[in-house]
Formats: sequence, C-alpha cells, structure tokens
Amino acid sequence: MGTATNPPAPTPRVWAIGGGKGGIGKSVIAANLAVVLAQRGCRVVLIDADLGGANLHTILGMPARGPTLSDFLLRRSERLGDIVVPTATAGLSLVSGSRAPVDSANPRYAQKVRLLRHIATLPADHAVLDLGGGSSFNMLDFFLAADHGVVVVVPEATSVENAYHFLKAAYFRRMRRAQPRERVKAAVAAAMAQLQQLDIRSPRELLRRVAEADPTAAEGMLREARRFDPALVVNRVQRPEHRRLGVDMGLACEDYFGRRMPCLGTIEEDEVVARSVHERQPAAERYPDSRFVGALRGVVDRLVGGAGAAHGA
Amino acid sequence: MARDAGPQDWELLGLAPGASLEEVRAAYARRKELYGPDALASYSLHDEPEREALLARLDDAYRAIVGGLGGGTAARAPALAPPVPVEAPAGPAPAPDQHPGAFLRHHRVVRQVATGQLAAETKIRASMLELLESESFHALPAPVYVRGFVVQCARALKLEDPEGIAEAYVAKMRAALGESP
Repeated sequence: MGTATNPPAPTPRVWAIGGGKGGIGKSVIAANLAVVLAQRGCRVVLIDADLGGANLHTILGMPARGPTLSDFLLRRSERLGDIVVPTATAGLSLVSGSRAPVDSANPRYAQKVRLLRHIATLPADHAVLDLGGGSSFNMLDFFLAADHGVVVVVPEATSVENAYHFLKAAYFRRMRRAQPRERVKAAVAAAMAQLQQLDIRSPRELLRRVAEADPTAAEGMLREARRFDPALVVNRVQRPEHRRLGVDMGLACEDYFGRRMPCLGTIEEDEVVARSVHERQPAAERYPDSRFVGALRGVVDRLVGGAGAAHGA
Repeated sequence: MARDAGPQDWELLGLAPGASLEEVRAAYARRKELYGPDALASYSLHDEPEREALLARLDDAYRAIVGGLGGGTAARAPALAPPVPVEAPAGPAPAPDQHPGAFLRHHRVVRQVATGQLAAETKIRASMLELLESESFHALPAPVYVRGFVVQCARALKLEDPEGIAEAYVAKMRAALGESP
C-alpha cells in the first residue's frame, strides 16, 4: 500500500488510529498498542499526528519539549528520523505532536506524502499513528495509506455518528482515486441521476448499478473498494448490551459499503486507564494484567496474527 | 403481489442465493433489529426516510425469498423449496396461546394438507402462510389482516373456535411487536 515505496529494506507496518471525536480514548489506545507491540520485541515508532491536541508524551510520561511533528511538516526539521526520541519503554520511540497553534493542523497533501515517505524509511517494525479527534478528517490520507486503519468508537450516539461520518469520508476519498477517472465519474453521475428510480441507498448498491451499466468503471471502483478495509475497536463498554456494538456496526458497514469490517476488540471501562494517565506511565507497563491491557493484546493478536501478515501486498 | 426473489434480495440479507431457510430467517431478524429505530449500532448511518425504506425493503426481500417455499415456485429458490409434500407431524399439538403459528402448522400437517393446498383453498399466498406458521411477526401485515388470515386457515383446517385461535395469535403478535393489545 502507501508505504511500499522502498522495496529493498522492509518498511514498517503502519497503523492509523482514528475515528473522529475527541475524548474516546484513541490516544490511550494508540500509546498502549505501541507498548504492547514493543513488549513483544518489535521496534515501534509512535507518531502523534493529533496536530493541535497532542498528548501522547503525557501518556508515556515524557517531557513536553523538543521538536515535534509540526516542525517536520513545516520543514523546520528535514528528516523525520531526526525528531524520533526514545521512550522509557524498550523498543518504543516517539514523534511528539505539536503543541503549536492550529494553523499547522491541516498539512498540505505534499507534506502528508512526504511524511509517509519518511515513515517508510524508519528503522522500525511498526509505526503507530494517532490521528487525533478534531483534526482527524485532515488525516484521512494517513488512514487510507495505513496497513491497518483502526476506528475507535464508544457506545454513545455521538461517537457512533462520528465514526460513520469518518468512515464515509474515508470511503469516498478512496473512491475518488478510481480509474479510469473520467469514465468512473460519468458512470457514477449517470447512476446518481436515477437515484430514485434505481432505488440506490448505499455505496454498495451504487457499485452494483454502475456494474450493470459500465463494467469497466465498476472494475476500477471495485479495485479501490477492496483497498478500503478499516477495522473497529469499541472502547469504554459498561453495559452488557453494548458488547455487541462492534460486531453490529461491522455488519451495518458491510451492508452499506459492501466491505467486511471486523471488530478487533471490545474494551470494557477500566479505571486503570485514568489512573495510569495520572501516573504518567502507560497501562500496558503499569497494569499489564488489567482487563484493558488484556483486550489490547487481543487487538494486536487479531491484526498481527491474522490476515495482517499480508503486509505491503 | 407475489414477486420473484432476485439477487438484490439476497444481497440485502447479506446471503448468497440458495442459503437455507434458517439462515434467511436469522439474517432477516438480525437486520430488523440492527436497523430498528432505537438501534445504536446503525445510528446516523442512514437518514430517517432511508432507514424506513431499508426496513420495508428487508420485509419485501424476506417475503420474496421465503415465498419460494411451498408456493409452486421451486425453480426460483431451490434451496428453500424442498420437494416434500407434507412433513410428518412431530409430537403433541402446541398450545395455541403460546405457539399459535406452530399450532396451525401442527394441525395442517396432521391433516396432511400441503401449504400449497391450503393456499389454494384460502386464497392466502403460500409465502404468507409460511410467515404465519413461523410467527415472523415483523414480516406479516398489520394484525387486523393477520386476524383474518388465521380465522380462514383455522376454518379451512376445520379447527374449533377459529376466532379464539386468531385472538391468541394476534395477542402474541402484538406482544412480540411491543404493542399494547
């Protein structure tokens, strides 16, 4: 995928943790996923791409100083490798996020491509990107370029709404690349003009209608659709009826997008999360036997152990 | 009213054409819940008119697929139309107030009446009879019509107190749909 630009050396597998809406535990999950990977002997770089709202350094107990991702994006630092700093966790290093004003929160496309190119050259097995809440829509390109796009959701209507908003935006951004572009545009426009008559109510149905009218355009769209494979993690579950939320959302997404969307884990509310942040030490180190960390290990097992092994394909 | 099940019906239920009746029922029930008005898991994925249209289409797809059973449409939905004339009755009659659908099926089978025969006699479509017997309340029309269907079936099967059976059926249907009697 997007990282496979440097064939000779193995490139890091890129994880992007996103999903819109702040305060649902994305950063804590990103940080602890990175720690779990490092604990398994992997070289991991955690990248705080929550521009304007960075706090991974706090979760890892690191000082808020030194160059940040913004310095790289604004070309004050030429190489990403120069701003990677080691953490107290063996094997884990960090690219801090910006604590700078918001004008840097929307990097230009060229800078995003440059960042992906530099990530591919890092001497690491995994690069974990925290895409943040408010700014994560600017980060859709990272989400799409990642080997593993993970959407975090909590059992609240606002969070579910944000997750679908984010997934739709990601899907349509992906489909904009479908080739041959003009033909795809024309075929989609023709189907959309008959939205009512054809009873098209989802991207999956749109694709089917396009396939009937123009198989070549549909083939190009299908190629992009196949590369749209995010996964879900449900965080902060308190009530038993919400344990199925991830699987149910996965099914709704499959019906809607026509793509399978696995639920990688359902994480129950656990007070060790807040405590570990206060203690400024990642839960995966401080509370390795907690339910929270156990659930995160399950997420890693599911991605690294399963189909995730088809890295860079 | 009767309609052939097409690929889009199977797609709507997330199944490959030819899935078993059990799979069809499970997929249908799961989606009725998933896209219900209070479902958190599908919240905001569709706007309200879209969501209602989706539910209506699910009903329609389910009827079209299940309609392949027993109504002389075997060629259209082979997996759902086993060429069995009438199943063998199993066990005693279920209680009409607890399992009114199974009660009807039991007496139909005991009398060796195929669904298609009952359909011909009552002029109620075979697929509708199937929904009635399987208590697929979500797929059935409004209780007022269901009451009429049950009375007709009970009369055709020469059961005692058709009105009472219909009453029991509708009471269970309303309870299952969360309506007050």
